[in-house]
Amino acid sequence: MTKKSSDWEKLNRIFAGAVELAPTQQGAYLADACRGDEDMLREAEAILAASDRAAKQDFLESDAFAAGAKILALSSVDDVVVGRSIGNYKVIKEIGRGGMGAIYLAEREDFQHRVALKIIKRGMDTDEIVRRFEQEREVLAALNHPNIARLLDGGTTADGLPFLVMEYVEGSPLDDFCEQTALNIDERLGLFRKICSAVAYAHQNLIVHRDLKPSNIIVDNDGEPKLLDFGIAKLLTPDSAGQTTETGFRLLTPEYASPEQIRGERVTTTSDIYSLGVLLYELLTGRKPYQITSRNAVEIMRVVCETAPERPSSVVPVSRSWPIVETTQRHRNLTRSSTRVTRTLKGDLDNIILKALQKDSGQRYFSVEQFADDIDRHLNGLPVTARRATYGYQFTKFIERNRTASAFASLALIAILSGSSIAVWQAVVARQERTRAENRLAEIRKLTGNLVSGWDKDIPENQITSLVRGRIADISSGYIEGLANETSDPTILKELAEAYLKLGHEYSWGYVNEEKAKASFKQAESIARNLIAADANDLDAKELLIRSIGKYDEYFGWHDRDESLRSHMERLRLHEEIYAANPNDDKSLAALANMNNSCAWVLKLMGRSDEARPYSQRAGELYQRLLDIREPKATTLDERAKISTLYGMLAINQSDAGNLQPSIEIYRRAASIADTLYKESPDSDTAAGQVASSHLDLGLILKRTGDFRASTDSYRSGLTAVRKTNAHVVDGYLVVKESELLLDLAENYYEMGDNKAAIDTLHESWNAWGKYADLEINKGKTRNLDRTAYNYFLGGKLLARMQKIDEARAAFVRSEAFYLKTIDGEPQRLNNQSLVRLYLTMGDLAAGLGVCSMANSPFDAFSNQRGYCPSDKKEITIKDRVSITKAKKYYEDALTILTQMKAVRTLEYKDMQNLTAAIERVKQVSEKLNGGS
Amino acid sequence: MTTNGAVTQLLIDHGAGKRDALDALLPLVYDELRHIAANYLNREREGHTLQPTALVHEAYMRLVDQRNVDWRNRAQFYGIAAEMMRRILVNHAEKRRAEKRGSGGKQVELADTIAVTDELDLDLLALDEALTSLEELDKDKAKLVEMKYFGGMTIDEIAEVTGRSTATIERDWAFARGWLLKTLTEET
Repeated sequence: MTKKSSDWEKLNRIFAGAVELAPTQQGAYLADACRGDEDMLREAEAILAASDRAAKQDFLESDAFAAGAKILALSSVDDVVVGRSIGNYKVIKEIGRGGMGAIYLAEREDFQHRVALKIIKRGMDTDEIVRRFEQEREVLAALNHPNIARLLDGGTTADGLPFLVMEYVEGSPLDDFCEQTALNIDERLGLFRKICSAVAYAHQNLIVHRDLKPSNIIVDNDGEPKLLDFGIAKLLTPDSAGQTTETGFRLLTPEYASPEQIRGERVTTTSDIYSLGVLLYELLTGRKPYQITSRNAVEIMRVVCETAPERPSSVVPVSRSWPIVETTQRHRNLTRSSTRVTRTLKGDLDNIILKALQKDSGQRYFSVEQFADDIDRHLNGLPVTARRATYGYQFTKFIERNRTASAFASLALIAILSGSSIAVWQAVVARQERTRAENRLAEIRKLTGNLVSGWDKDIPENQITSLVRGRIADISSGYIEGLANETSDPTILKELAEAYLKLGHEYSWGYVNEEKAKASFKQAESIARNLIAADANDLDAKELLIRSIGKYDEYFGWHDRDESLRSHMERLRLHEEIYAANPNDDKSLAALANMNNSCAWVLKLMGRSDEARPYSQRAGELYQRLLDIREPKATTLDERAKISTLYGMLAINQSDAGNLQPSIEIYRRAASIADTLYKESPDSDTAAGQVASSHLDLGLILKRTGDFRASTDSYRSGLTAVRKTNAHVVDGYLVVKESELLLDLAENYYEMGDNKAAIDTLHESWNAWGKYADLEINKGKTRNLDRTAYNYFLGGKLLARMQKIDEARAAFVRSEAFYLKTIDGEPQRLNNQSLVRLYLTMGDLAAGLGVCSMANSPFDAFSNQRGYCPSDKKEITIKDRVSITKAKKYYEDALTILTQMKAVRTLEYKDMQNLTAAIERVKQVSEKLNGGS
Repeated sequence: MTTNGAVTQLLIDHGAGKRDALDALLPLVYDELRHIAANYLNREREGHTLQPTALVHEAYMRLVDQRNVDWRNRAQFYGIAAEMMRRILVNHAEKRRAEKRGSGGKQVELADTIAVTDELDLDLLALDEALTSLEELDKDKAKLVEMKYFGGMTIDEIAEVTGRSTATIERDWAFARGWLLKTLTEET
């Protein structure tokens, strides 16, 4: 820091005095102020004059920031060439080149991980190609299958060219692989089955590959086939389904394209089945079903659409050099000896392949599963049977049905238009419109209702992928928009706004589509605002507006806290207005109290605690007022249970304000009301539930004050009530509470030094939850799997604190298994966040063993954040190195998930934190590994 | 090591006067700004104009845990962004001067950005030098110029993040600008 000289400060003061004055007075002022100091006078005059000049010539007013931003944005630009870096990847060499882009082998700079980097060539970035590229990215992001090359990352280079980072598969294309490796029939079929499972998986996600051929399937060094290049894949959206001509003839590979593709007709999943048929034909015979020598469109069409392929079995003997001929012979001998097989191998395989190669797509297998199943049946000697449709197929049918329905509606309208006089026409149309609107509204209600409540009971929750949900949401969106443009009826508009809200929720949930989510909420908002503009006393519309901007804020508020604060303040104002209109409605009062609380909370998040205080205080007053009104009137069990909850809210409000002791007293009051209720009605679930939650809260705050004994008593009271209820309630929904109480109780035992009781209680918690999750009605529900995983995670942390390392690791491994189950069909689900957290923790555990003594344990209470343990070991043993290597793997897993997440959505604040943590820790353990050798 | 975002901790350390915190912080902020700038630039092509504070604010929101910092840290962050812009522009101007002098017909590397600093209608290198002199006399004013000119912040915004009154900022700006112009015109 430079010390300001006293001259400089004086000069400043004089200048400050002078600028306040009119120019005519400045001379006299300066002369007076600088009396006796000529240098100072000259300097002051010069600066004053220069300051004037500067203002006149706009000195330092040019937009330097924009220029800097431009340089910043365009730095590290230029064509991709080997040796350059794109994102975090260093390009090593070109490995492929297509019409629109090139594929490079690249390496992650920070930890030598090889990837394939696909990038659009400069100059090729037309809208159409960029769109297709983005689509491929969207498609790949939705696919997470061992036989599909995974999307790892993606982004835009500084000059705006999109790029994809994919798993790099080292190996040979399928046909080369088959030629090099003499595989027998079973091995070939095994390979083919894996390809089928990848294609089936894509179909389940409503994606048709459209370009299945040997060169798009790489068999890696472990013999695993991997599907590549979804560059011309198609999403089965309603709008694309209606298109007749797709992307044109040139994007086909004629030898593998289905007749409908060749004719430019609608492409469905059965087109991929055809291509799979060609692949299987080639795999088993070494020849393609058609010999296409000409590139002439008419000739190709004639061959593919009109000629029948030779039966595969008649082709085999022709080519003596084909390695499978002998093995087929061997296989035949083997199978002949089996009495179980009634059909000959030859007949079965011929039939299977020819069924897949049917010209009429309706005659083919209708799903890849069915196709693959037939192969299994053939291998097991069973007859072929028809299988039920896949989900993707059912969904396609669903779209078809709905399209027909809307087509009917328009037909009806046309009939009315052409057949009636103007006057009648107008009346009819008005009525018709109204009916039509109502009908369609019912449809939308049904559709959006489905979105929220789950698609169909027959389909396990975790099979409805985000992509499918997104598609359904797209369809709903189309309906709603159409209707919104047609009506000005406030009742219908309000329902539409509700639909938009559901839609927005749908798009937000699991990050299906952030932009569309925002747009949906904005639509709801705009409807609400228009309604309020038309009628300032429309309280329903105000309530709608609260929810519209509230939902937006709930999902995206963290993007911009200032905007979030504005949203809170507007909602607060609306709640005030609603309450002012209905001063006797205590629901409005409750809402107003909650809103004040939220405002306090958001201000606190922004670090403006002083401003938060009045809101928090007002919330407390309102809760108190609400209690004063409600408590004397509360007579029924439900009403009194709500009073207990309300005391809980007041208690949180007080503890947030730092009034810990009063807060505990209020929590006690809430618990005692619940206890009384339970004493009066020991058979009521509501009472038991209230006891559980109020004692859970009370126990937690007592734990925070360090009074573990009192906290334990509270947990035990809750436990007694909830256990009795769970014993007789069939679906045992209070088990969530039971397991929570037990987990917290276990932690208390540990804090009080009773490790044995802690471990026993932990196991009780797991058992209680396990029994619940195993109930038939709860199976397959994502949120239950999620909770199971979380229970193991928390338990693992507790065990780690207790230095029960092996048990802790086992708990984490189980947690991982359940998290993986939840994200099975839904790679974009939020659970990824939990998994990242788990991997970081597992890494911490392993790293802790390697780099620090466990006295320096990185594990802390449930409620606290973990910390990476600082290394305090001087000597690193071989065993330590193993641990550290494991830790590195876990950290890298976390990093991989985060990069995948980044490819499909904006990272949340929490993700950014985890990302930093993961990178940091990979670096730390790597250093440890390198330094300790 | 930190459990909260490293950036947040670095920012707090930097505020507490730890020298090496800034060195660790700059590349992180640089990367984030570059990323966001690229996005903005794309949007700008579609007709939106670049709002400097929005860009820096976005970086700030993404990188920093708001719960653990106060307004002083925010001011620092904006200051860092402004300083970074200054370095970027000055570096660029230096390269540009070297290219002009070299003039051997070598391929110019930064084709897209070549005119950027020329368009500013100002000798950036001389300004940088004068600003360094100002820094020696009065660190606060130099920082103010950095935020205002390089950081693209308005008087109000600077007042807000530095916690001083707009009147003070305006007066200091008038003085600093006069002093700089005087210094620049005297020297050339």
